[in-house]
Amino acid sequence: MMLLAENICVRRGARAILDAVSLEAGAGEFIAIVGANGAGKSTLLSILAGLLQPDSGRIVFKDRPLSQFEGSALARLRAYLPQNPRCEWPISVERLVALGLTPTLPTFGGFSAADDARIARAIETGDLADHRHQEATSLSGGELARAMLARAYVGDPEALIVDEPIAGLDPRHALDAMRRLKSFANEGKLVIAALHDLTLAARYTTRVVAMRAGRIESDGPVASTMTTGMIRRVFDVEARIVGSGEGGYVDFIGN
Amino acid sequence: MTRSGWITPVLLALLALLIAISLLIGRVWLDPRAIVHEAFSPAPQVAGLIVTELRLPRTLLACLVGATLGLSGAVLQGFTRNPLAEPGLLGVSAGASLGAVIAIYFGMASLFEFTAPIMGLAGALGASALTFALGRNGGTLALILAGAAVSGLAAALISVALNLAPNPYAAYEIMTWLLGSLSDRSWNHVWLILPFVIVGCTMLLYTAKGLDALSLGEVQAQSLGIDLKRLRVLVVLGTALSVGASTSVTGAIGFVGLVAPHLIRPLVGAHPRKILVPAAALGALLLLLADIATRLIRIGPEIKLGVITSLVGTPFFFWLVVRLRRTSP
Repeated sequence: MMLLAENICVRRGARAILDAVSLEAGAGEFIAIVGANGAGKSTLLSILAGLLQPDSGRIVFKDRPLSQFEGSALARLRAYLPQNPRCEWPISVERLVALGLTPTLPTFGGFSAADDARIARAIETGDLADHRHQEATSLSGGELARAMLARAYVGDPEALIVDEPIAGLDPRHALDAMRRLKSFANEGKLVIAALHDLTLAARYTTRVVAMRAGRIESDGPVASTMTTGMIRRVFDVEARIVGSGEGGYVDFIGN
Repeated sequence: MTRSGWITPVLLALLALLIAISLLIGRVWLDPRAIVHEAFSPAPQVAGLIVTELRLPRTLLACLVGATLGLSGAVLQGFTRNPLAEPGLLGVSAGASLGAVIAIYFGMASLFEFTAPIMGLAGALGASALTFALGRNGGTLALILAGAAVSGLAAALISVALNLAPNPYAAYEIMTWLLGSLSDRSWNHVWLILPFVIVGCTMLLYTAKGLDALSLGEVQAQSLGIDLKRLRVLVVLGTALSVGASTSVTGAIGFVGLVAPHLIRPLVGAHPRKILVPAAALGALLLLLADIATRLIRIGPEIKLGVITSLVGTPFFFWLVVRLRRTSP
């Protein structure tokens, strides 16, 4: 197992944000975390990424307790993208993508030729060649999301943890992003993404983890977890699931 | 990538030129030939003494203090991702001023020449410790608010000192000190602040990588392996030492630390790391230019350095507002 979480609990005062959550994830999986707002998806992703310490429970990443990793050593192995990532200075897209190499850089000194090649490749893969020198603050939402994703994979991490990567994207860019994440999983990386679009989750991911009120409601391959019963329990809405695989879609009827 | 390698060499060349000019200009205008001639003569003469004992330390102080202000301004703007951040943000300048004012108020400054700077340094360190303790468990915003609170407290206590000043002369002395000046500073002042400025500025330079990563916000910076706690200690302690020491010998000097990083930013593609060294060079250049201006403008008493930087700096603020209004939606 690449990533193993056991009995994770997070409390804010009397309220449990995560309540005894356990999860195992291996290389090559593309896991969708789904659930209503406030179900604990983002908190779980932060914990899996090692950015937040749980109140109890343990996480093991590549056979080592996550808490034992040094910051930059962990950063080389896993990339994390929060919800709506923003760029605060008008740096160029190329610079933004290059920031993904921060954990491998010395305190002083610039990029090696190998780094430059990696940056160029990530820009190419992200379909950003035309925006290379554009200021990141002037990108459209879809372009910025692509640039941030390129920033996440430029260092070639083994695990990619992304929080709502397709929120706010138009259909074409949402499909693009899902296809790209899927291809990472196909390359043998672990991809974990919080997703609200159940149709795209059903089409592209290999496994669905459904959360409700800080607990995992169901966890398994798409075909067995993406059911009308699960959607009713997790989201409190009635849904209809039509078809499966590439052509399948999830339709909400009412509550 | 933006080609920005030329900026620092050009600024340093200009700075060297300005240093040469600064040595010649003042109440007594010196002829460069006389100085060269004196350098080779065995007995020291007036022109030589003016240069080595008066103008050289003053010029070096201007460079040290200006570089400190430019660098710390660039670091604080990068750290807070706020273009309005300046070296006084964490309460360091106000703390240094308060320390020096206390020394003047109780007449300690007249007993021993360096009481004011030493008390100023103590005030800067105390103020930054208070800021750090207040903003310890919050984010960057908590630190900024803590700095504002500490600055406010120090300013209030300075007002108390002015209010209760035992005689008009003491009040005048405090006010003059607060305006900021480089006149009548000696080599001793240079040696006094040099170690603090070197250590503080080195700490500030070590923030470069963290500042770059912070372009993506605190969460992403942390996910990229940046230790935000360590970064915060470097920023606060580096500013306390370098800006604290600088302010304690010159008084609070505004705008240089705000303006220098702003002027550099567009030249280096807004890349936080690349702003640091050029901003330090430009800070030195601007402060030396302002100090030369105080020597050239002869209307009544000497115009204070802090007054010049504020007078020239405020229009820049207006320009900043107009530009922000144009670029932000």
